Amino acid sequence: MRCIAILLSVALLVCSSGKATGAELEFGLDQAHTSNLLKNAGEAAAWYTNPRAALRLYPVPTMEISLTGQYTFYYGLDSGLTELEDLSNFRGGVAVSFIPRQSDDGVSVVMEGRLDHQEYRDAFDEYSNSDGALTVTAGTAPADNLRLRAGGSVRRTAYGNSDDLDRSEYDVFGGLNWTLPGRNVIDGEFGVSLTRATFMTGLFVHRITGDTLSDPSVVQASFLTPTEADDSEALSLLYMSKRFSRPLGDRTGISATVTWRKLPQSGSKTVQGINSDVVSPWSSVWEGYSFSVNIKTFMIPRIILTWGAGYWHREYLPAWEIRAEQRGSVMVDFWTFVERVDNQRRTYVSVERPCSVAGSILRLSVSVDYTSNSSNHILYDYEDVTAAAGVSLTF
Amino acid sequence: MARYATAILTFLLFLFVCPVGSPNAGSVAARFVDLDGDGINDNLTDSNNDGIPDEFSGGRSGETPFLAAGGTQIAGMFDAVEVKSADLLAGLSRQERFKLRQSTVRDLGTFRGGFYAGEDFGPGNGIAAGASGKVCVGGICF
Repeated sequence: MRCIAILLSVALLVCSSGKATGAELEFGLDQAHTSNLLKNAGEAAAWYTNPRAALRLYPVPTMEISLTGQYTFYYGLDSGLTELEDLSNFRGGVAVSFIPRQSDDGVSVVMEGRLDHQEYRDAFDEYSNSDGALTVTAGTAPADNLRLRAGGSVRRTAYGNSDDLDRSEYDVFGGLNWTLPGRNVIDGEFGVSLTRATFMTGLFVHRITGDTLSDPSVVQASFLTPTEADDSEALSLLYMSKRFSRPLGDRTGISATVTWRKLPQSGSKTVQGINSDVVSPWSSVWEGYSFSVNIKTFMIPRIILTWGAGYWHREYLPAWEIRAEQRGSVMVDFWTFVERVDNQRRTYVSVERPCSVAGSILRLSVSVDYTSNSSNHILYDYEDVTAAAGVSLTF
Repeated sequence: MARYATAILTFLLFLFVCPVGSPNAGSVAARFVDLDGDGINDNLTDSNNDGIPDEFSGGRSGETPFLAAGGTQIAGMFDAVEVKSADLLAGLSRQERFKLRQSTVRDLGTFRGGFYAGEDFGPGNGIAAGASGKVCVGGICF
């Protein structure tokens, strides 16, 4: 909260001298309710509030420096789940975007660097992290209706309280945007990503032994336990994405996107806690495919109405999870191996009303998002409805 | 899977041939550009940056005044933008000049794949959970 106060103070000071200084300030506040915070069969409902602020500076016409801060506060959980309120977190950062003057041969270049820090409360402090990324992309238009692009990105995420979660990622990607007759636009993209992280490798047998004759409640059992790799290993990801878009009538646009992701040579790589800890960085690593459709319309005056629906097939990395189980009279924590495959359907509708007030833009928005997820793992058969309302002011 | 593929292809074929409505404005509207994938012509002017093109909000129809080397107006954002004319830039702040430049490269700098990237699906109103097309919990999106 102290960071937000400092940010706002600086922002107000800078913006008090007006737009001529080359500054933009944005405040936002979102209020939402989700019927399933953890996105699992437990269906823990929660409220959350998200105040945020951003200051964007333009020292020269080719550069934007942005300072951002937001706090997401979860509350209203059932008793017994109040520890989940520690998912509340602050995220703040600085980003620099540089669009150097384009050369005579028509090549455009965009460079962006940013640093972010995310801080959780005590129960999830293990996942507090700092994140830095640098992305460089170049584009050129060899024809009036065709643009090609290519770029690369380097990203490093460091978890201050859990070195095992640290990750480095390297991305190379390319694509084209091609306008066909009839205002049909095809946008294709492909990319390769490489991440270096600590994976779980090797197994050893953890044996619980007891005198089953003198104490029948004690059982003899053996459990497999993974060990962590000493050295960082690499995991690669290939992806392709095709997007088709075009107008529908005078004031409406539609797009359809198909994406395919593959983790080649993932082999025996396994990770820790992808399923049991929803904030695990491995939650976003999967292979599979997806299809989505979005429609955006201005048919209602001064309103931006957006609707979308999508389907995802996700196969996650095999994960080791710690589960508690009663063995005789003893409650034993043991490792269990999970291979999770999900099929997810989502749809949403969003209504936004922007207003221009004395040179400032006020935005009011309402959205409803429905998710239905089926899985080979009963824990992940769930539904979720998230409804949100937000307001933002940019000046 | 084959059933889904057939349905998707049929849907895309229908989209490809269905009417698009009347041209948006003038000769430049014929050069349709959609770098951000919303199906709306990126060349339409949005003079107050509220996200609604002027001609859809009762304002003047037209296109963003892209500038070429020497300050002459050019036909669309695919042409090189080399803003040099002091006269044409006199009325623009540094912020407006950056945003004009940024609008011509809106397809650069982001990508749809990678371990962290999403598919840009979902409400785009900046809400922490559900923003950027991903399911987010506690700031982690997947």
